[in-house]
Amino acid sequence: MLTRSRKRESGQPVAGHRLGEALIDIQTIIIVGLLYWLLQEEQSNAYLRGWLSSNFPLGLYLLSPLTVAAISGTLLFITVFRIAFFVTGKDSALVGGEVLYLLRRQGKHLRELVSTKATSTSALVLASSGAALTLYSYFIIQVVPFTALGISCIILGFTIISLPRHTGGGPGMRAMLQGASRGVEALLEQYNVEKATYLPPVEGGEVFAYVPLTPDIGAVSLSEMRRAPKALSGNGQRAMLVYPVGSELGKILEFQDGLSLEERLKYILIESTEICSRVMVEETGNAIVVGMEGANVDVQGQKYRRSLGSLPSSIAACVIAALHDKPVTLLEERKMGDRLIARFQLLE
Amino acid sequence: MILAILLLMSVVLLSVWGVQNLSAYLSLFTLCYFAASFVFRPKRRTIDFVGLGLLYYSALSIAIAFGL
Repeated sequence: MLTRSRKRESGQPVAGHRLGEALIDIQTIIIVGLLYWLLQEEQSNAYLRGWLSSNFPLGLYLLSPLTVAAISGTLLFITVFRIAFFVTGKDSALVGGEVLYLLRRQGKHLRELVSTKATSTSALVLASSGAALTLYSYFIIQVVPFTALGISCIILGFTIISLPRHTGGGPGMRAMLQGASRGVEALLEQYNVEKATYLPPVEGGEVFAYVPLTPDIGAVSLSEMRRAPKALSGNGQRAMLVYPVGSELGKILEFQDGLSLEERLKYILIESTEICSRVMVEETGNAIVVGMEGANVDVQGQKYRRSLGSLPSSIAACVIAALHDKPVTLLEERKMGDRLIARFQLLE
Repeated sequence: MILAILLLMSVVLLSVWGVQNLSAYLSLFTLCYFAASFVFRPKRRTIDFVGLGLLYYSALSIAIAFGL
């Protein structure tokens, strides 16, 4: 759904789009052909080799069989996929756009990781040193074991980057979260509760959820919400503040370092609690859409879900409120197969 | 940690045996990587781009080594 909405925004005329794609494929094939021709020429033409070694030594390395094969292989691999999408009628632009979108996000994540996590910085240093060692050993001193050592450093560096920062969670964590939501469920049980508003923490405190206990509550200001009682006092009570399961999430130390919303949600929902397997975020103005794959939505009571949302959405709302420092309300949740889509609205 | 030891051992062993073919190193790295992944099954933040890259480039280098 997120991908489709992006696609619609950047729509192009279909014929021009296909022509552009075909031109790119043809260009790629021509480039590969030219590379192959240059390789053949370099191997058979002694004059060209001599000219390259005296004027452009790097060209000798670029025209080595392994380099040409690697570049051509990568280009052809991409082109074959593009043509396959074209032939089978799938929208390659959609997939390509998604890949570019993911790559852009990975770049952003890498920058964030460098700025926030010492282990990731070390991993990047390891990978960079490995790359330098590989290039130096392969092209300059031509020692294969050193080249292999450099490659192994690159593998290790990127493996460290791809692994989670912390391990934990699992069924035990889910059971504890379920237990934590029981207290709120018991409080709300006898009321016909409405959608809650998550209030941002004050001076590094907790995230509260303002829960209307009657349908006719009307418009309430932020200061009035903050003044609502935290306990049930009687039959005439119209609203109350509760501690949602994620009320303490704003206090996590890693969150002080400027992680993006998606990184924070991954940190909590995937790495720490294992409540879902993948998180995608779209922010447009005050509207935030969070897609969660493999989300487990059956770990909280009915009243909790009706007011504060399912557990993954409730946790996401707490993270959003703490990050944006604005009240947040969960507009709707939709479960589509394995995927849970939650729409949030930031309130001014 | 285990992967680091496996990779280092691969480099040392192959260099001691005098192997000068980079595709042999890459293939052994790929084998070690997937063996470690299979045994420990680590959670990942992204797709396994290291595994995919290793698989692709080791296959490519083997193909070149055998003159395919």
